[in-house]
This record gives sequence, C-alpha cells and structure tokens, in this order.
Amino acid sequence: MRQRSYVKASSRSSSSYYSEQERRGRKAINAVFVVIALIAVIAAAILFFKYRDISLQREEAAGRLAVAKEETERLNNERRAINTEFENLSSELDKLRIEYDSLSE
Amino acid sequence: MRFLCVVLTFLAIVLSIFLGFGMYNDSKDIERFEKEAAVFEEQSELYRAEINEITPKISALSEEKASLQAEIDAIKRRIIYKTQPTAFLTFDDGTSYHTLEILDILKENNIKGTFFVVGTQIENGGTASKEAIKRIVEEGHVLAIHAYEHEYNKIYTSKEAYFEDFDKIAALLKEMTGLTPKIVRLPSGTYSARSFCERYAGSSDVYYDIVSELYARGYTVIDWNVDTEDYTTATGVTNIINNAVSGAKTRLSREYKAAVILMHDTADTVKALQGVIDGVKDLGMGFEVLVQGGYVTRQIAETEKP
Ligand SMILES: [Zn+2]
Repeated sequence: MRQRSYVKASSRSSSSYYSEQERRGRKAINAVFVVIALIAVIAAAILFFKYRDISLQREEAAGRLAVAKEETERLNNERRAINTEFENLSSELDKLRIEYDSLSE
Repeated sequence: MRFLCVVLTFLAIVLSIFLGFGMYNDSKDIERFEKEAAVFEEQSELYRAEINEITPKISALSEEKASLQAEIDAIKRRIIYKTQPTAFLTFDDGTSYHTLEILDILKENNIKGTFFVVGTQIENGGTASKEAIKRIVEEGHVLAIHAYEHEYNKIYTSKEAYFEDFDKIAALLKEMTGLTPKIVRLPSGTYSARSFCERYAGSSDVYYDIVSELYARGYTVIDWNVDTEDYTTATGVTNIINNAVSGAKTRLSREYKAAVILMHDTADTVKALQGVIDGVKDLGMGFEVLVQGGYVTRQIAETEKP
C-alpha cells in the first residue's frame, strides 16, 4: 500500500517533473520559432527598404536617361538646323560669287 | 503561436523572394538605363562638337556674304552709270541766302542736289542759313558734311583737330535736323587735303588717318570730277556754265557716265545754275543725289592708302 502509494506518488511526481521539462522545451522551441519569425520579418523589412531604395534609384536612372535622350534629340535637331543653314549659306555665297564675277567683268 | 510564427516566416520569405526578384530586375534596369544614357551622352558630345565646329564657320560665311552683297549692291548702283548718263549737282560752303535761291531753282526744275555745308556759315548766316538747312531736308535734297570751320590751317593740323571740327558740324546738323549725314567732302578735296596735312601737320599720314577714321565711323568721302571754278568771281557766269557742261560732256566718254559737278554757295552760281541745268540736260544726262553705296569719285582712292 505504502509501496503503491509511493509508486503512485513517485509516478505522480515524475509525471509532473516531465511536464515541467516538456513545458520548458516547448517554450524554448516556441522562442526559436518566434526568433526565426522575427528574423524573417526583420530581414523582409530590411529587404523592403532596400527594395524601395533601389526602386528610387531606378526611377532616377530612368529620369536621367530621359533627360539624356531629350538632350541628344535637341542637339541633333540643332545640328541638323545648323548644317542646313551652313549649306544654304554656302550655296547663297556661291551664287553671289558668280554674280560678282559676272558684274566685275 | 508556432503556427503564427510559421505563417509569418513563410510570408516573410515569400515577400523576400518577391522583393529579391524586384531588386534584381531594378538593378538590371538601372544598369541598362545607365548604359543607354551613356550612349546618348556620347552621341550628344559628338553633336556638340559638330555644332561648335560649324558655328564659327557660319558666322564667317555670313560675314563674307554680307560684304560680298554690299560690294554687289555698290557695283549694281554704279553700273547703271555705265549706260545711264547722270549728273550730281553738289553745292559746297553753304548755307546762306544764296542757298535759298539755289533751292528755288532746283525746285522749279524738279531736281535734287547734294549740299556740303559749313558750320560757321550756318551759325553766322542768320535766319536764311537756318531756313536753307530746313528746306534742304524738307525738299528731299541730301544734306552732307563739309566742315564746321573752313580753315585748312586749323583742321589739317592733326587728326584730332580735324575730328574736333568734324564732330562740331555733325552735332550742329543733328541738333538742327535730327539727321546724321553720312556723305562727307573734305574742304579743298582729298588731293589738296593731303597737301595741307603735309604742310600743317607735317605728314600726309594725317590725311590717310582722317580718311580711314571717317570710313571706320561709317562715312563716305566723295570729291568731284567736274569743277565749275565758281569759287572765284573771276570765273564769271558764262564760264561757270561752260565749265560745268564741257566737264560733264567729257564724262560721257568715260566708262562711268557720271558727272559730280562742284559748285559753291555764291551769287554767280545762283545766276549760272539754270544754264548749267539746261546744258547738262541737253547732254542727255539725268540728275541724282550722292548716296552711300552709290557713285563715288575720289581724287585719292581709298585703296591708295599706304
Ligand atoms: Zn569748301
């Protein structure tokens, strides 16, 4: 009886001992889970900010490209106009030279 | 709790993968944009270089064109006198009451003349002189510069002395008419002016300095090629007419049939003027005024400058 009761008691006490252990283990595992989740979330957050940065950089690069393109187009138009002017002046001058020569004769 | 963590972790990983892809694409884009921008900038540089190369060439061409055009215009204006006999009546040393009579005769004949006026005459000639200046402008004649003081031993002592006098007559005419006459006749004409410069300034260089400065300031210096010799009463009315008409006639056999007839602001000139006009008209000549870029006669050509 005593024995039994002892066993009982010991079994009871051992069962309560195991559940304590178990709880601690579970807590630790929970903590690990939380830490992993936290790390994952923080990493994601860092990545998100990085992404935002790069997105901004991309916008800026796109802006610079547009400006460079526009400038090139503008210069090209200017170059064409100036070339046309040059050609026109040259041919006008040629005509004037011919006229001058014919008048000077 | 664990489930929540797993879900969170899972979501974070999925999000990270998306973000990772996004970042990868964006940085690829950035690289591409920068490369393209560099290509555009390189092209811009080439265009800029081309523009910088052509721009000075264009201004050189424009300048050449303008001067050639001016020469052509001058030739064209002159060339008409190869076939079109023309007389330019010029009256020096006014203005006075004689000028008013000259203006009346020109008006009756519907002819325009060129008046090389003198400052002291205008200022000392009373209302007639001032009225004459007004009428010269109003009636469509050409007001031209002779001198403020017609004193060779003053104006030909140095370039500075000449321009001090010149600026005075230019200012007087500007004040009276609002005009800036651009035709100039040196007192005594260029040939004698050079001699006077030698005598009074010690060097003919002063003459060349004066003329080139006048041209630099945009004036045109014109002498005459027919002298009526009306500066002295010894000549007389008949001889003034004869000198004008025979002088004009000699010009008809020249390449340019242009007679720039020198007359003065004198009583005999007034008496001779109708005879001069009739005689010159009988030669088949028309009448014109001296203008810039038009017919120019000079005893000392500008190209003679040393
Ligand atoms: Zn004179």
